[in-house]
Formats: sequence, structure tokens, C-alpha cells
Amino acid sequence: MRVPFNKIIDCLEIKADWIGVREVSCQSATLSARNAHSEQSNFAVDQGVMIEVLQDGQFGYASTYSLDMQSIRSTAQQALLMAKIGSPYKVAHFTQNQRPNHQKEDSLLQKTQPLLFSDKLPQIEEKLIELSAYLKKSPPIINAMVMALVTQMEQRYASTSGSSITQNFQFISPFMKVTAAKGNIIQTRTLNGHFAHSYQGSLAGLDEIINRENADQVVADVLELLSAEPCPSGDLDLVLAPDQMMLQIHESIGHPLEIDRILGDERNFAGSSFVKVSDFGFLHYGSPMMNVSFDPNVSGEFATYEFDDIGQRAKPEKIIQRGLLLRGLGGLESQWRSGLPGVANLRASNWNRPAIDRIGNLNLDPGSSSQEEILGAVENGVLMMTNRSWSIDDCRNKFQFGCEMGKLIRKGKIIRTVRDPNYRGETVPFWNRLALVGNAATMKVYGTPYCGKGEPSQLARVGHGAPLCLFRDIEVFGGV
Amino acid sequence: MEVEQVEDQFAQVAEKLINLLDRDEHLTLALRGESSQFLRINQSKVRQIGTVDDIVLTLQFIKGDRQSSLEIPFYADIKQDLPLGQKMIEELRSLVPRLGRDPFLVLPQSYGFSQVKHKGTLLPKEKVPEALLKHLSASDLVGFYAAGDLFRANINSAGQKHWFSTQTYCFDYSLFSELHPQQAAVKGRVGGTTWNQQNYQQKISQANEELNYLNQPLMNLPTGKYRVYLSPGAVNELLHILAWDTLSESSIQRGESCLSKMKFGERIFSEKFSLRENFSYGWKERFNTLGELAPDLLDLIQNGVWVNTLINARSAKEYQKLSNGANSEEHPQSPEILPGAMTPKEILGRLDTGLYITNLHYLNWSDRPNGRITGMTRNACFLVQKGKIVGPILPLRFDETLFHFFGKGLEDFTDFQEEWPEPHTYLYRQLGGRIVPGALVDNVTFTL
Repeated sequence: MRVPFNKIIDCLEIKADWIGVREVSCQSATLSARNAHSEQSNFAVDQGVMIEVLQDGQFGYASTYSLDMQSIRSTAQQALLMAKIGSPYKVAHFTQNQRPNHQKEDSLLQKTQPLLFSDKLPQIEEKLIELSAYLKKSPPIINAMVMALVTQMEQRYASTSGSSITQNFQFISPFMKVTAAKGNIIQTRTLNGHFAHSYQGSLAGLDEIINRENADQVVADVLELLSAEPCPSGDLDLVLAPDQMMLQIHESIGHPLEIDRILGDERNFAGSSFVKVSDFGFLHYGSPMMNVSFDPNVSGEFATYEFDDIGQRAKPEKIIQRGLLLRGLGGLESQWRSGLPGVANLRASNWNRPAIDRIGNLNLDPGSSSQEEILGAVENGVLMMTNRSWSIDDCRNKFQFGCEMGKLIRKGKIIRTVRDPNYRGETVPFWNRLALVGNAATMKVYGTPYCGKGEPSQLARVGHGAPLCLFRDIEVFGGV
Repeated sequence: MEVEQVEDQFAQVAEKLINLLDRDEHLTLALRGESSQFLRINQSKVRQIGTVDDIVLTLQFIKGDRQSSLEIPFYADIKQDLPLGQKMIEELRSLVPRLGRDPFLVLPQSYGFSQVKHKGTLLPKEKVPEALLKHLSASDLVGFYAAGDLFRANINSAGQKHWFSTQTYCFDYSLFSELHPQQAAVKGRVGGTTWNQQNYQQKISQANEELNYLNQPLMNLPTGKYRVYLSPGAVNELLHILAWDTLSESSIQRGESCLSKMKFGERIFSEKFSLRENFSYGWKERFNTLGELAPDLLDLIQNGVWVNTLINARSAKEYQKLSNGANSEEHPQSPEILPGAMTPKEILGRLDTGLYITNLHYLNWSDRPNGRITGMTRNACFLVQKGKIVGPILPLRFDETLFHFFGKGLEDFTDFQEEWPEPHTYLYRQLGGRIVPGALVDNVTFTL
């Protein structure tokens, strides 16, 4: 028989310095349509519990999908065993100070209607099928795909130090993609990138994204790309649209500033960081135009939450101000280990993974330049839109990005479309070439459910808002 | 978790649920489970340690010309699983007719019966930190140990049954240089079904010796074209990106592969390059989620000639081809690049002047339709001049096509291969691995 969450801690029958329990329940739907047909829509019900034990300075964890008394008790014993066998070799001595004590029963979002088997899902799928048929209507288009991922999640957290938190979320990720071919040229265009329109909110919001107006633009773009010249090569001015700024922020600000990465935890897998503990407060990460915020409270942004997964209350913090690096992205464990101030970002992908430092909502604050002013300031350059490729070295320094579409700018005017635009650079010099930052009118907020990191590996949801930005003198190049 | 009990209960539950089906209904039940221990190490110490138990049952339900799948937990207890399964089938029965028609839906067939069970001798859970760390001679080991039971199963309403279970471990690690603790490391991976403490300690000792090469200043090399030797670890990364949609029949048809513009049956790579699926190592189940059995060996590229794509039954139906039992993504599951003729002693001499690269990092397509990729060198990489190692280098970015790496730039593969078991654990602990040689490649473009 299933143990009610509020009884779990009482029934564990282990003695430890501290115990925490995190239960996660999810219902999810992946609705998919391709070329006017349903493409195997899938659903999932998932539930499990993670028990975390602190003993002799070491956290041990054990997780199970099975919520009966016997399984829960056995799992707790495993967690205690893990802590005990790990303690003699621990990398840091943790205490209850790394596990705060808060109570919260309401959540930012009202609990929504149960997702699975509702009438809404077939209705949404029908809409996706219709739109995929609409996208496919032009002959050069060889593939048209429309998708929506929907996840409802309830997360409950309790601890022996008195934490008691319930949070409810609804995550929605719509996506649209077309591929077209003409002769030897094949081009793909999406709606602002791979699931870039990820948001938290209601299903009604899908209509603002998955619609014919956006479909018309995606089709027009891909057909234009088929006849476009390749992007030229050279050191040019580079204007990045918000749907490419998203990846630039993610890879060259977000990840390098994760404090657990700076402490070396990720060196075997995702890599390290060029940032050192001593850089905070001193490193000029970018030009004075650069202001970056960690903001877990933005309504609808994909990584908005009230508490992180060890129960720390999440609040906005300035990370970079006028180009100066102020604060890292690390939760209470990393803050303790490094001595640095951080943010509430210890998060886990699900009940079956331990919490680690994750980027969260990381946004470039808007500046004061209009779109016209930014384009007008370019003598010879390229505007690049929508990320399609990303690569960076294991210290987060040398990067290369590719985009779906480019526009040549000459003497302040867009003159034509170019295909296969790419650029490369090094993180700190690049951000110090940030010359103009768009105003709030140019700002867009995007997200993704696919930020990967950790051992065992985990996918995290992140959000990135950014305006249009101008960078001077960047190495730009085209395709083969 | 008792795996034998899981197998037995799965068969019982599947039989009962299949008996509930109406005449126009079909069902495939796919099971995936693990009982894993994880240990994460940083600075030769324990960072995080824990266990995960998880079993997921996927019900693939077809009614008429419509289908859907539903994942639910599986408790290996018929008293819980049967009512839950019955309830979910009722819900699917109501939902599926309201979904769109799926013209490429494949009805279950009986693809036969298979039962593969690998027993392992793993470290007892309570001994793992001690075995990995107590007598460690390295001061900055960073690594990830994952071990335990893994199983997959597939039963369908046409009568087929497949079961695969194994007990495996994988320890993926990097030993970092004292002089360059962020960047320069010797990388290694041990894995299999039987833990060998002596082998592990020997590997670490050997890595420690190799670290001496890294405890020197890192050279900042200019960009340009270089001859390169790619050790098996680096070739493994190239194979990883080649496996990403390139050989998938559906990706090729949709214009999402760099082979989309190539001619099937023609030589598109060097005649020295042969790639095949090789399930004989037993790392992974041969059946896919439809229950189709892949052949033990399947040539994909033979002496540079493109001879097969990876096709599952769904793609076969859509594109009127024959299926070869590929998985749902149509990615290679147990690929092998065949060896060449270059002996270990010949490597430096034949490289002459160039770069000795042990690892690559963060590869991605810079121009996918034309097969161009970019990525970074990582960990222990060296400048070699006239056959002698000069010293370690700072990371360099390359931008080059796969048709160059495995085509006109390829001079030879080594006569030996290495096994690289799958270390990945996104969503769940993965099965599989790759078998790769080292490669000598001329004229590779480095850009940053």
C-alpha cells in the first residue's frame, strides 16, 4: 500500500543527522504530427521518491518508484548506507546548514486539470496535424513537423529539520520545423529553434505559438533560404537575434558560472570553467553594456520556481553588472564549498537524480537601443537568427555557433538573406565586444527542456530572455 | 529488486492484459528497468553517492488504424500491476480512437523468442568507495561509477517474447594534471560484467605515468591544417556524431542527414573505412521497441561504400524498404569500426609532424547537409615533431567534414581496437558501446 507523503519521514526507521524526502509526480504528453499525419503521440505517468540522508558530513541518496512501506524503508536504509560508506572519503563536510527550513503549501500556479486522457489532448493533436498539412503544401518542402510536449509536475519536499513544500508546475514546449530541398541545397527552418518557445502556463497559450501566421513565416523563410547565397566570411559586425542570444547566454555565461563546475565536479563529463573563485568581483566578463540576471520569478518563464529542490527560497540576483562578474550560479552546497555567494539553483531533473547546480532563468537585461538604432550602427555585418548548432570547449572559452538564417547588413540596411551563417570566438573577448543592447521592445524570452549535465546525467529546464544585440568585429563564416 | 521475479511477473501481467484486447486491438508491452548504484568522484574524493531503482512499462496500444503509447511504473507484483494495466488499457481504448490516423503504424508480429541473461561479478555496494579510492595513487581523480542490474523486455499480442538482462559496471574517469587542473587530463574507462581490482589499479598507475607528459606548460598552437593521430577515444567521439541521424533511413529521406545528397551503393568514404553494427559483444539487447530482432552483424559502410541504412519497421512501411530491426531513432546501438594496419609502434613515426589527440569534445554539425562538423580537442593532446612528442597543447577547435575524416584525409586505422562501453545515464542508465581503432588523418583544419 502506498505511503502518504506526509507520513513518509515518520515511518523511515533510520537514525541520521538529517533526512529529506522529495516526491515527484508527473503526467506528460508528447503530441506529434508530420506531413499531415499523427506521428505516434506518447504519454507517460511517472512517480517516485528520493530520500536523502546526511550522516557524518556526507549526503547519501536513494530513490525508488515504488511507494509502499517496505520499499520506502528499504530505500531509506540504502540512503543511510550510501552516506556512511561515502563519509570517510567525502570531498566536503556538509551540515544541516546546506538544507534550509521553509514551509510552503500553495504554489505559484494553481493546480491544473489532470492532463492525461482529457479531451484537450486529441484536440491539440488535431490542430498539430492540420498545421503540418498546411506547412507541407509548398512543393519544395519535403518534411513538416509540428509538436507539443506538455508536462504536469507536482513536487513535494519535507525534511527532519521542518521543511514542508509543495510546488505544482505545467511545462509546455511547442515546436515547428520544415525542411525544403531544391537541387543540391537542403535547408531547415524552425520556429525560433528547437523547442525554444518552451514556457510555463496554460494550454491556451499554445494558440499564440502554433498558428498559421507563424507557419507562413517559417515556410517563407525556408523557401527564401533555398535561393540565398552562403554567408560571407570575415571579421564583421554581428547582430544576434534573441533566439540565438539564448544559446550564447546559455553556453558562454550560464554554464561557466555554475559554481560546482568551477569547483571541478563536472571535469570528467561536461567540463570545467575558465572562471576561478578569485574572479568574482574582479573579472570584466563583458562590456559595460552587459547586465545579466538570474530571475526565478518571471511569470511564464520556463525555469520559474519558488524553491529549489533542497528547499531554498529562490529570488532574483544580479550575476553580471555593467560587465563586472558579481555572483555565481551555485546553491547552498557550492556556496559552502567555495565561500562564494550564489543563488537557489540546486535542482534535479526528477525523483531519480540528486540535485546539482543548474542554470535556471538567466536573462540579459534590456538596454536602450531600438532595433533601428542597432541596425543603423552596422556598416558591414550580418544579422543571425535562430540557433541550429552549438559547440564550446571544456572550459567554456572557445565557442562556435551556427544559425538557421542570416541577413546581410550594409550601411545600416538589411540588403539580402544569406544561408548557413556561423560565427566563432572566445567568451570574454566576445562579450567585451558587446556594443549595443536592444531595448525592452526587442526583448524575447525563450526556454529549453534539454540542458544536459551531471553524473548521472540529467536534463534541466532553463529560460533565457534577451534583446537584440550588436557585437563588433566577430569572425563570421558560411557553409561548405 | 529481484530480476527473476520481474521477468516472471512481466510475463504473467502481459498475458493477462493481452487477453483483455478486443478483436481490432493490438498491444506491445516493453519493459525497461534498473537497480543502479552511482558514485561521483572529484579530487579523488566522494562528491555524491546513491542508488536508483526504477522499472517502466510502456504499453503500445493499437486500435484500428490509430495508436498511442503510455509509460507507467511496473511494480513486479501482479496485485498492483494488473489493476493498473487494466485501467490504463481502458483509458487508451477511449483515447486512441480520438487521435489522428497513423498511416505508418506497424501491427505487432511475432519476431520470435529470445532470452539473454548475463550474470556479472560486481563490487558489493558497500565496498565501492573503498575499492576505487582507498589505495589511490592519484591526487586528482574525477570520475563516475555506475553499476548494477539492467534489463529490457518485449512481449506483444502476436505472441513474441524477448528478455535481456545484464549486470554491468562502467567507471569513466579523468586523471588531472597538477599543473593544469582545469584542462589537462588522462582519460580512461573500464567497464564490463566482472570487476577486476588489479586491472583497475594498473590502469590508474599507467594513467599516472602518462600524466608526466602533461605536467609541462601547454603550447598555444596557430590555427591551420595539421596531420593528426586520433586515438580510439577521439575516434569514439567522431563515431558518436556520425551515429547522430546520419545512417537513419527516415533522417535521410527527410533531408536531415549528410547522406541525403549522397548516392546509396557508391563509395562515399575511404576504402579503408568499414563500419558495422556488431551485437556479438552482448552489451545490448538486439530487439527494438517493436520487438524486431536486429542481426548480430550488419554492414553499414563497407570499404567506403554505403551498403545499408538503419531501418525499423515503421520507416520500412513509409519508404517501402526492408527493415533491419533498427531502434526507434535508427541510431547505431553497438557500432564497430574495423581495424586497419597501423601498429602501435608505427603511430608516432607515421604521424611524423602533427597532433596526437586522445579526446575530442562537444562535436556538433556546422553544416549538416554537407557533413561538416566542429569540435574541440580535449584532455591529453600533444604536438609531435618528426615522430617525437614535444609537449601538450592548449585546446584547439577544428572544423572539418566527416567525408574528410573518414574519406580523403584518412591514411590508416590502427591494427588494434578499444572497447568503449556506453557511460550515459540521461533519463536512465544506457546499454551499448562502441568498438573503435585509432586513426591517422592528414590535413585537418583547425580554426581557433
